[in-house]
This record gives sequence, C-alpha cells and structure tokens, in this order.
Amino acid sequence: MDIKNYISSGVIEDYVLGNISQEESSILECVMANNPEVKSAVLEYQQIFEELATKTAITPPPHLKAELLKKLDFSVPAEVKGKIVPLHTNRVEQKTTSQFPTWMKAASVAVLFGLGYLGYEVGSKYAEIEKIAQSNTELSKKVSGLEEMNLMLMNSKKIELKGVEKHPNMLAEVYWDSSKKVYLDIKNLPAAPTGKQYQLWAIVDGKPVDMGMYDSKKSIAIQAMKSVENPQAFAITLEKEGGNPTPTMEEMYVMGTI
Amino acid sequence: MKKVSLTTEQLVTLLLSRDEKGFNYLYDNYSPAFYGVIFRIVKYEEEANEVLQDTFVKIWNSITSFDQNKGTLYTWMLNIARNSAIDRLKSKSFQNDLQNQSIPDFVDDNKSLSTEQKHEFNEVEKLVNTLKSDYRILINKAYFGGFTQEEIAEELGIPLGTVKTRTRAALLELKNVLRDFQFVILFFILK
Repeated sequence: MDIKNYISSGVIEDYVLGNISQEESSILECVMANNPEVKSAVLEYQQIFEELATKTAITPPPHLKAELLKKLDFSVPAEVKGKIVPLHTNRVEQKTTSQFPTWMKAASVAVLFGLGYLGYEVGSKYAEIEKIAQSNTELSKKVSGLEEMNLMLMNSKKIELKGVEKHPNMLAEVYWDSSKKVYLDIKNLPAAPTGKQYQLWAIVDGKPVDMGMYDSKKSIAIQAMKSVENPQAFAITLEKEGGNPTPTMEEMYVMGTI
Repeated sequence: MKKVSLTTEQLVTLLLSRDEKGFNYLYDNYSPAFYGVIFRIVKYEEEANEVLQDTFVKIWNSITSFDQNKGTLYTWMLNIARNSAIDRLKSKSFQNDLQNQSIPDFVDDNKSLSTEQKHEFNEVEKLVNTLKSDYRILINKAYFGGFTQEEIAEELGIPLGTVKTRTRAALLELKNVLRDFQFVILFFILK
C-alpha cells in the first residue's frame, strides 16, 4: 500500500468531515506536513466546506454581537503558549574504529610477539591454534551476520523518517524488506532520557501499530523490529521504557510516508 | 460588512493583541458563515445563538494555537463552529429537549427570524437539495450530523466501502454544485 491508497482509504474524508479521533487526526496532520499530495487533497476538501459555509451564510440576530463583546476580555494580550522544546542535537555516535592504526600496530606487535613465542615454545601452539580457530568462527559469524544485513538492505525499501515540525533536524531510517520485516536505523535523534525509550510505529489504514522499541544499549545501529504488512507510514515517539500501547502524539519526533 | 480587507496574518496579529477592531472585523466577516453551519446542525434558534457565542469565545481564547501549516484560518474557525454545534447536538441535555418537542420545520417555526434570514435559509436548503439524494444524506449525516462513515454504513445498511466511495463522490459533487450555485445567483442578479 502506498500514499495513493492512504488517500483513498477514507481517512482524509473523515478528517475534513470532522469525524475522526484526536489520535488519527494528529497522524494525518503529520502525514500532511511530510506529504504535499496528502496536504493538497486535504486543502481541496476543506475549501469545499469553506465555500459551502460562505454561500450558505445566515446573518445572526444583531443583539448577539453586543452580548458577546461583554464576555470577552480586551485588556490582556494573548500569550503565545507554544511549548519550547530544546533540541538536543548532540547525537550519540556509534563508536567507530577510529583507533584503527593503533590497533594495527598493536596487532602487528602482538603477531610478532606471537611468532617469536611460537618459535620459542612450540608446545603452546595448539592452544594458540585453538584460540585462533575460535576467533575465526566468531569472525565468520559476524561476516554472515553482516551478509544477512546487507542482503536485507539490498532487498528492502528504505523510508526516511524526517523530523516533525517541533524537531526539524531529526532523522531515522526504516528498512522494510520483501518479507515484511522492519529494521530501524536511528540517524539523528537525541539520546533518550533515563526511563524513556524510542518506540517505532507503523501507520496502517490511518491507525498506529506498535513496531517495538529501539534498544539504545545494543551495540548494533540497525535493529530488527516487528513485521508489518501494508504500512503507509512509520513514525517514532518517545515513550516510557518498554513502550506504550498507543503513541503519545506530543512526543512524536520523526515521521515518513512510503 | 466593512470594505477593509485584512490578510490572515494581520487578523491573527490583531486578535492576539486583543484589538477590538480585530474582533469586530472577525465577527462582521465570519459570523454569518458560522451561523449558517451552526443553524443547520442544531436547528433551534436559541441553541444556535448560544453555540455561535461559544464559538467566538473559543476562537478568542485559543487563537494562540492556530497553526497556519495545518490549513487556513477560515477552516480552523469553521471547525470550531461546526464541532461546537455537533457537541451541543450530542449533549445529553439537548437530546432530552429533542425528545420533548418536535423538530421545528426549519425556518417557518422560528418566528424570530427575519424575512431576510428565512430567505437565506431557504437558499441553503435549495442548494443542498440540488445534490443527488444519496449524496445529500451522506453530507447531512457526516458533516451536519457528526456521524462517522462506519456509523452511516450501519444505519443505512450499506457496506462501508460503498459509503467511502459515495462520500468521495458526494464531496466532488458538492464542489460542482457550489460552482454552479454562484452562477445561479449571478443569473438572478443580472436579470
């Protein structure tokens, strides 16, 4: 299912007709902000009702205005209550092997040492061989893991989740592969505060479906999430550790449509 | 109506600074449109008067949360008017009142409405009546009745998919009718 299907799912009609839950309309507003096609469909429908109201106007009884003026306070200017959300742009970097040369030097020294040691004490070579064999299996495991990941990345659709209005520069990527499995790669999101975790949601027919939690303690950046069929969009919210059954819309960070 | 024309930004700025001129502009330019929508929903003049006042109080109090990225100021305000009327329609006290009296024959029972208002109201009826009856029911139930597409499907005993397709068609039809409606008025004026 793609954005065309989302448009024809009836969500937009429900939205402009005003018969939609707060949650669903927040989702639609997010989709709107990220998708010009949905936005223009919404605006087009809204215009119909604007026109209908204009052309079917009825002048209210004149006494209402005076009564109303008494109810309003003109003395205090309205405060703009916009919540200020600090942007923590210091992203958590995955530790990269920046000390590679040092490691190489250390390894070379170790190997030289090892060679010397082997030459000296032939008897201990079996133990060494065993060790090497072990690390070899570990490495090949890693390689096959990487191969698998690579295969997944090749066979999947990449969806960029961009920061919503309140968090303009945030970024995450979702990979949705042909077997409906979903992988999440957080590119630029502030570290989740203690007791909080990022939760991934898929939007299916306008409704949020839990896709699981992103575990920032794991060393791998791209994490496997739950599987989903026919999603129209993905979004990430900040929730309490372990997640919530429904997303906290005010805590939505990024969103992306398919 | 005054001939001054303000942009959305100018109007919002005036409202935020609690300028009385801003409020006057808002009321004079938009109250007939809101009243038309509200009246169609609650159907009683007294209720419509109250809901219209509620609507302006809500706009006044929540103008700070208006977000231009989500749509026009007109739509935002119209939604407040429409939702306030739907809330009133669905409120218990209103439902109780309804049971005790018959629904007024729209305008003719509302003796306090002026001839001009009655004329305006009849124009509304005429306009909506030009819609195909299938479509008219949908618009009336959904927009003026606050029913979801699921509820409408259940009540009319037709599949949800059909309601969805018809709703879309009804909105497009309404768009065309509105376009033609302008011509009808122009035609009468020119005559």
